[in-house]
Amino acid sequence: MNTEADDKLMADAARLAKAVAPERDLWPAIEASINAPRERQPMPWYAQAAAVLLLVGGSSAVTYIVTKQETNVSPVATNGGLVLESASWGGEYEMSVDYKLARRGLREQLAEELERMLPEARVEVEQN
Amino acid sequence: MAALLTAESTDYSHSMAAVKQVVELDEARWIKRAKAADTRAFEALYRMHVDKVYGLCLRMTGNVSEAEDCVQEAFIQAWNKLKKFRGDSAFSTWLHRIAVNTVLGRMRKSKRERDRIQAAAEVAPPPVVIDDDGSLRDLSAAVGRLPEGARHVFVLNAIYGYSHEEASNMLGIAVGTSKAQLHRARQMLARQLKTEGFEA
Repeated sequence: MNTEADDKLMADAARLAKAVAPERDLWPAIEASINAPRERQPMPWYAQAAAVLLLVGGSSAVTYIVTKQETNVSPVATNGGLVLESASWGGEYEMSVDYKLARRGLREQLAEELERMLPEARVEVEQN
Repeated sequence: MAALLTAESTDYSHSMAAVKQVVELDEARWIKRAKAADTRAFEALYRMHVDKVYGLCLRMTGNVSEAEDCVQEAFIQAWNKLKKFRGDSAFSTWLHRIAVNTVLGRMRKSKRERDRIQAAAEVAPPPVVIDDDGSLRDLSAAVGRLPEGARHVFVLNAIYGYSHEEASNMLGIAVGTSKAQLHRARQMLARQLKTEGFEA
């Protein structure tokens, strides 16, 4: 394409209509849309991320504080190096009588079983 | 304004400049009122700009109903973003930018572009000018047949007079890409028009 033809092409292009009237009035639909009560905007992604972080952080902090609370409950049993500690989830937790009885039964059963074991086996069990 | 209408002057450039200034002042007033949520003022802005925005959408999409949807969406977006308009650029440029973004967004979202050429041939009347001798009609139709990238650059640069910097900014492409697409569009148009017996 030579320069003259190219110039004519560009000149013709500049003469093409820029403003074209729509075949129908588009305003009523626009007006209806902008006058409509605004729908609640979905929460933006960064706000969602912040909410998740806050939730996870808050829940972690609560867990940390609770687990770090000093407990008045002393270790419940010491048996040949095997130390049973109080539950990790609560320093103030009061165990029921049934639970205590069941726990005592299990402890006695464990002691009996350990007594019956060969020394090597007992060491291995206690290590585990 | 009355003075402008009665002024006896053969140099119309001064009058035109003054009219333009009055229109811009008027526009600024409408913008201010529209920013304060005055829908009547926004309607005035719509009436002032709709033809150009529609022309732009029609040339970019090549489809009447798609262009109508784009215009509506663009003006709704303009209403929602109006408070952010600081007047750094002309209101029309700001509006065109929104319209171009709307067109691109809709094209990306839908797959209508694939069917565009056929649809355009069926429904889009090529916009013409009064002294059209037929050659412009051919050119208009040929522009509509250009591939998307080349067409968008050609429409913004050659028809609407935006610089490569402005067009590339609107389209989200590099300036070099804009220049290359314009070159490609020119070559394709010249080839098309030659085939159709019209020497560009």
